[in-house]
Amino acid sequence: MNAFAKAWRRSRTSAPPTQAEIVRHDAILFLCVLLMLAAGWGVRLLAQEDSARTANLGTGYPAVAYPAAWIPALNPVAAQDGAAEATPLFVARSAGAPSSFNSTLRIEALPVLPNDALGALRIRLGLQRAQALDRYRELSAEPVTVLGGREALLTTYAYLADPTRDSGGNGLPVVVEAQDLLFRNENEWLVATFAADASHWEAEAANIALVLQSLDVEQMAP
Amino acid sequence: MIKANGDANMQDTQRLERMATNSGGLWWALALEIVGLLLFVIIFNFIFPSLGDTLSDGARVALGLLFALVPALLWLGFFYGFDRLEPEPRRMVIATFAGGAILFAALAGTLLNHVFGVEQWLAATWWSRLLGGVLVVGVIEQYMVFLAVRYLVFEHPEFDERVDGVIYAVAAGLGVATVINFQYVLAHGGVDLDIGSVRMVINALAYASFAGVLGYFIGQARFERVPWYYLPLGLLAAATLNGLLFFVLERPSTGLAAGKPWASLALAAGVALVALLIVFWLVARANEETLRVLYGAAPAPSAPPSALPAREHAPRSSWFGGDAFAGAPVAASSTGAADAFDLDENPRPQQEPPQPRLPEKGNPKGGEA
Repeated sequence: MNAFAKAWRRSRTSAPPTQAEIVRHDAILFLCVLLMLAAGWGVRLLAQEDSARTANLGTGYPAVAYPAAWIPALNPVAAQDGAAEATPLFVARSAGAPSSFNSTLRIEALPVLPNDALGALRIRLGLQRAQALDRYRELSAEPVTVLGGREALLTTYAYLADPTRDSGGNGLPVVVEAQDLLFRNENEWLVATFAADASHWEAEAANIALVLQSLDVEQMAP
Repeated sequence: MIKANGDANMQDTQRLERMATNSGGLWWALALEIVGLLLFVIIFNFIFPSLGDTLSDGARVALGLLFALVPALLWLGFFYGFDRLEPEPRRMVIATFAGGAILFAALAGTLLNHVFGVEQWLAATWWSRLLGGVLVVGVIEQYMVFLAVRYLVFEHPEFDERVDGVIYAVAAGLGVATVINFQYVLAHGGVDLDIGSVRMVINALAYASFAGVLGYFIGQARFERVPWYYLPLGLLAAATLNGLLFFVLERPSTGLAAGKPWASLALAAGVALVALLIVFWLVARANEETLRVLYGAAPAPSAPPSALPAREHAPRSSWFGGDAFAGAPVAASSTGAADAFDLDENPRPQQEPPQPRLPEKGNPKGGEA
């Protein structure tokens, strides 16, 4: 407190600093900025450790991690954007995304039809989305495994969204890139969808990895 | 150069007294400022809520960018009025404004997004928002303000009063705010800003005020021998206010991101207004310091009564009615020899001749005769 009081004391003279003192103050300030940024880096590391949450899907479902900064929807509603028609088990959106399209994680459970298979589900979902999403285009489909060896399919697709018009604004449409992870869980299909502005897809890589790692997604051996 | 006695001293004394007692004008300026900003918000929210519908994409973005400048220019004019009796050259104020904007756009964005990757972790928890907002966002943004002032105007002869530190720092802070508002407009596709117009107004006020706090410390460091921790203290104070604003605006449960903006905007406006009041006080304090030194340097016993800087003639220095000289030993400081901050590590001789208060125009060495 003594130092603070001394710093805050009203001056009684005008004694301008010498050039050497000015340079010294610059250097000290620069060092202090570096120290504060180093402390900020420490906060970053701690926050990253504490940056994941686990979606509460209910009993019998796998634990799915999502970024802690994302906001889970309190009452997920049925999809309006071409996802499956069932009410999703879980939806979370990014907070403060740089795009007008908020990155989204959606987890849905779909019924298993007779003689159903991953390939048939992929086609069924693709048809649904082609009807509901503007300029829907599947980019790739990759067989993977989840949760210690279960067969799964990771499809990547893109479409056009118009989030600002949907909210009454008049912004530009957004090209959305999305991935569906399809796999079977007991007597139903689980579809985990991760969607983001395509121009920010790389920036979302860490969040995508967080979700996929929580489901233990691995490439299928050739 | 201000002389220690004689007519020049009288004129400077009177000028500084006017500067330090312009309370009525300030409140009128503030009232006009608020009316202007309300008009700005009303235009976007009620008169032309769909202004962008009739424009092409390019025109919409161009107009949006132009409107992003409006709050900054309004606040710049307001703070510029602080110094209206000896205004700073407009080109220097504009250069500092542009310097703050360019530094922020060039360096801060890279540091924040690519080095620290704040989007990935800053909003993860409440404490990361608060501490990261202060130690990363606030420090980087306010250091950009410091750099703009330090390397564009700090040693310029026109930087000749303590309050100039506030004026130039506010200009740099508004440059930062303008870039942030530009980014906001671009992210939202044009001029249909709605609630965004309120946020832009608050951003401009907040960044101007935070930078004003830092500017006070810069002004003191320009004209006083300050302890080593003085500038870091000023930067930390401004960064803390900056971080508080970020913390309030980016609350995930009730903040803008959750679609419940009004509570957050009201809180943010509160933070910004508190900072503005702090700046008012600091400006008054800076002028008071200037007057105090001038009175302290004047030859009280030999001057005519009207020019005497005697205790009973001391002006009110504060816009809030405070007495600048309450309890201040004016006569005791008339030697001007005491060290400004009692720097233990670097004591000054007690019989040192009086230092001139203001640097001479053209003498960037701060008045060292």
